[in-house]
Amino acid sequence: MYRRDRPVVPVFDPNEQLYLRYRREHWVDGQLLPAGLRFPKTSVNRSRFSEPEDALFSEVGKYNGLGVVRFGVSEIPPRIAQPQGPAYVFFVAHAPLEENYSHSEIWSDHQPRTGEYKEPSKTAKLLFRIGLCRTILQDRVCIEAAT
Amino acid sequence: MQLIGPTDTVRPPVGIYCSVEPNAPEPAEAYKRVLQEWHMAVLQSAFLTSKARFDDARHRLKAVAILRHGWDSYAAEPPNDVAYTLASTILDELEANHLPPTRLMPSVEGGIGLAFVEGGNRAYLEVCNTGETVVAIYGTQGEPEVWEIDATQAARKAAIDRIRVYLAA
Repeated sequence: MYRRDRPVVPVFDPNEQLYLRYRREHWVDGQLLPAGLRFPKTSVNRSRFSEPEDALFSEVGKYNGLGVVRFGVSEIPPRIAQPQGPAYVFFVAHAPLEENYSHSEIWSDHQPRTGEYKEPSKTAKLLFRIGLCRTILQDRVCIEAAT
Repeated sequence: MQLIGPTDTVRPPVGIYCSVEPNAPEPAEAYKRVLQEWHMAVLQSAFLTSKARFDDARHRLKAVAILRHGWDSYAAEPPNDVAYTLASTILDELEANHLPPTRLMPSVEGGIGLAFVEGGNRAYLEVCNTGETVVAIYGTQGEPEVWEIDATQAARKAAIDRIRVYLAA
């Protein structure tokens, strides 16, 4: 869990899994709702350095009752085009925290890439959130939420 | 506590009545059957189901008012007064148009979401803390349709009608 001076590992295998905490109220009829998925800076834990249970680790139990779902790196919608304005690309970046080495975030940029974060419009963000939620079905629940 | 009604009105006390055979070995079974039949009638009633969904949505709307920063375990802002008031208005408009949400809940984006599920068809309406409202309709396949609506009753009514048609398809 703890970083202990370990380096950032920028490369993600397309099959690598990402773990996300969720609340029961954001789960309806076997699928995560967009209300339970934020963008940008979607915080996730990468499976290369963690287990699903680690997403609920807290010395003071602040994640008690929450659940954990998983999705693959290759399932992140790669690109959202808009009728007006530039298309956006989405990608995951390893962003370790001192107490959570596996911590990663999903970001976006224009296409072609500028190398900086570019915030999509509200509709593009919702398209992205729905695209990801459609992959997070019952078989992706690692730990079921109680609250 | 004793309830006292008009003295000139004669009626039996409120309760559940059913006929029971004089020698029935288990009189409670007769009452259980009546209750089960009533329960099924409630479940099959579109009116009562709709009313229950609106009651649930309003109950959840009240609950979001007490959320604090980071309520989602990450860093979500709680819904603010702008989102609360607009979501309450939309709930009234949905009820007037007989379209109950499947679930109302706070959004981790900062605002309030209303989800509609009918088989494989889903709709989602998000009222943001900024006062903006975005709507989406989507199924298990195909490209979702997402659009932003302005803060007029006519725009919200058009969105409600579009959601209804999509869910029924």
